[in-house]
Amino acid sequence: MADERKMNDLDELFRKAKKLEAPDTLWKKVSDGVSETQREKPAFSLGETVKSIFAPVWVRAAVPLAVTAAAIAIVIRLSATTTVPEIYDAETIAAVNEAISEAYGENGAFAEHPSYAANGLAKEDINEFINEQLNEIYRINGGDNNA
Amino acid sequence: MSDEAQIVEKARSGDTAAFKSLYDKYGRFVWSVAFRMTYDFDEAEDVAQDVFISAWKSLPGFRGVSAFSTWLYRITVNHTINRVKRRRITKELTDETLRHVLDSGVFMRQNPAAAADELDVEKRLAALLNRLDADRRMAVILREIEGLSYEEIAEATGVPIGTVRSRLARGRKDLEEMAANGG
Repeated sequence: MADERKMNDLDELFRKAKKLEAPDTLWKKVSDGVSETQREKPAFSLGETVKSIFAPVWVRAAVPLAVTAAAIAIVIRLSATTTVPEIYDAETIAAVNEAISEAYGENGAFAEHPSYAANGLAKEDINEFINEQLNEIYRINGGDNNA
Repeated sequence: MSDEAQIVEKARSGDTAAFKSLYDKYGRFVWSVAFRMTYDFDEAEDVAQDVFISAWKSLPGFRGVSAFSTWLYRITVNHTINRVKRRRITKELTDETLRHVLDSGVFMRQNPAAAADELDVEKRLAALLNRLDADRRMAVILREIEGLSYEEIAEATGVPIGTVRSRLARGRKDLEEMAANGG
């Protein structure tokens, strides 16, 4: 009986305590903060596509790491003007081979391309994205990039 | 796509009016949790501001895997718990401070709908909540006051449902004993 009363008292306290509202001043603080805040860049949307469609193809075909990176670079470039299924149907491995020189250039660095900027991507974004994808492919591939 | 999902999508793409709609819906929750975890009016405002700025900043990366509410609850819990745990190292909230904040009248001015007896309820509640550790206190606030489900609390706090049940059971038991002993 005493326990039940204790519970009822507590429940009554909780029931009555639901009426707080945010102070009027809060939205002003939030909106001021929002207007001064630099937003994070959206996650690059091709990530899931690369993982679900391209990576398995490359793994099955035992495509070497460097070629895989080049392929990702060309996927990013082509995505500015065409759709993923069109790329996929056009013999991925051949595209990979063609991509090597363009993606890497003469000095081994990823080449600049106007479509990167058109997509709001800096060279660093591309490198970061490719690194993420390579790590994922490495994981899918059982930790062996040359498999 | 639900109405809220459309609003979230707009806010995600930078629409501040859409973000204001989300604030209108969830601002009360965020502030209320922050206030009852800190019982410091200014600190609660700071935490709530941090939560919404963090949400605004991170929204472009929000993929909608979970509901927006779940995502925001988690940000709220993380910011609030971090603040409370960090603060406790340097500043212990005493009952005296608590009474001062509640008696200051700021609470009443900001919330004119609250009658005197509701303020008295808040004092009694504060005196009890203030003696729970941060994790149990958060669980009790989310469940007993904000009405979240066990699943929602588990997602918001990042612990298994069993842990949520345990925190709630122990938290309630502590509160009942404290209430029985005069708060």
